[in-house]
Amino acid sequence: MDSNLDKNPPTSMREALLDSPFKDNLDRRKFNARVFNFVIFLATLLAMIILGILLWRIGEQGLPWLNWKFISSFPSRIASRAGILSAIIGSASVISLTAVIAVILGVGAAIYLEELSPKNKFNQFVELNIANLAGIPSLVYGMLGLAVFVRFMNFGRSILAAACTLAIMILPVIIISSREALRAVPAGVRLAALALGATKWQTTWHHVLPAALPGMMTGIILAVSRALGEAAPLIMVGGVTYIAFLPNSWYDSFTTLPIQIFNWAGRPQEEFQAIAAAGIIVLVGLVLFTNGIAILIRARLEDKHRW
Amino acid sequence: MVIAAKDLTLAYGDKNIVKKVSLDVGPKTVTALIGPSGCGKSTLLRTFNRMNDFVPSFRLVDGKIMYRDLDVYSSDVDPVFIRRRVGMVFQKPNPFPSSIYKNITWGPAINGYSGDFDQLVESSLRRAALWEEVKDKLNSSGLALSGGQQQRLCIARAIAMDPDVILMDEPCSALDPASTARIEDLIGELRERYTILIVTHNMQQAARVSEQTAFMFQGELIEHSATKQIFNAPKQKLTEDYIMGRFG
Repeated sequence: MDSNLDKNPPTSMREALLDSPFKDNLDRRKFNARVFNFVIFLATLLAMIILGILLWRIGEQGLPWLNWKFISSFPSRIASRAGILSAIIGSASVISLTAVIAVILGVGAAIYLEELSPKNKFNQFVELNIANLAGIPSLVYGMLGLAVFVRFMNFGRSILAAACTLAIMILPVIIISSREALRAVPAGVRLAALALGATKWQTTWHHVLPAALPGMMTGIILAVSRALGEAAPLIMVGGVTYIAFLPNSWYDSFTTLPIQIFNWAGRPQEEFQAIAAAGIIVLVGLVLFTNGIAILIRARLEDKHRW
Repeated sequence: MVIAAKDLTLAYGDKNIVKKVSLDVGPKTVTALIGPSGCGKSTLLRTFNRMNDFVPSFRLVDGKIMYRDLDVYSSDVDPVFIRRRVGMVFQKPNPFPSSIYKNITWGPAINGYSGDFDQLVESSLRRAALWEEVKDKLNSSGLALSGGQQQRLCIARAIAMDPDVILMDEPCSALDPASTARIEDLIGELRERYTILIVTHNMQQAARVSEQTAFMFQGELIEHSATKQIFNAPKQKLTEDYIMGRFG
């Protein structure tokens, strides 16, 4: 908190100021500052409490079921034998392929729009539509994936089709946040490189992109985490809930953690509610793990680029 | 003549910023461009290496920029080729966020320099009067240097390209007086090898470092002659008023 809040000018000085056209109203302003500090503190606290309650409820239900057998077994009709191995492997394969596709396309599009494209009507139209795409419900992307990737491109109900669908879904967020990161790179760096006889591409590749990467990573982390937790579009694309084998190729059928959890949570038996909770713990763990790695990479990149 | 503007009119959008300016810059001289803010001197400077290409609304309305016998804005001249020979030092020091060594070597490396890089780094930093201060920390970041050192690093980076011309856009305006004095000394030494064109707001600086001075006002070139002549016996009333500090 601001230490100035507790200091007051001496009385003599206050009296000298009485005739001044400035009514500094210090007490009132300091009171407002305190109120505002308290309100935003409450907002933070509320978010933490809600998250805490959720985690506690899930932990209470799911932790007793969470053991190595649960993680290393395939799903089953019988709750006590059911495991989550195929969903973990499915999620991991879908999300890694999603990340590769989305990052290459998203960062590429951002570089084109921000650094290379002429500022004309067509590009403004593209920009506007990217912003709109970010607001479309994920189920619609699922229908798109079913029509385009599963049927038209004939990928079938496969890991590949799922990854393409999720990649398209998170593409707008990655493009928008990557453009913000590119825009935050000081103009002086671009001009310096160009003035040395570099081409636009050399300038972007050697200087602008490395400087923008940490900022891009933030958007990529958020987008990939969202994809990791999505069930709806994958159900459209044909994620199956009973998979008793591990995938051998990108064309194999798949299940993922959110699909598996969704399926278990929808069953009437109480044990399945509990193993759904255990599945959620695994999903949260997986999200934390991938985010942790990404944040470490970002911190290392940031060390290299301090302005 | 090394670089020249011929009847040059430049605009941002519909607004003419530089009007019918003709200016010849001879080899191995320092020419100062002076004038009040908004008179078009920086815009003019940035046409000599086509750095205005990155301002979307910029237009060359009429006239020509010549670099030796090349028409700089003709469609068969590659701006990258021009910039490799006409170097630039910016108003705000802008070293790359990498080591001092890489700051010097990057430009030559991407332009296919085949000589010895260690030697190039040393000679460039020596010519920029920075070698003694940084020779033990070539691998530390260029951004860790003081503002004045950063600007000399930027000059060293431009020198490393072995340019023909160096354009300087108010290179001392972000620096303290001591750093400014060092850069001015440096410009005095660089004139022996390079043609230098410097934009400055500081008339004393123009008087100290340049041999030729061009005074611009509202987009027009009012007077261009030897610096001594401009400062002691200007021909135009406007020039005299500006130099005497009656406006600006």
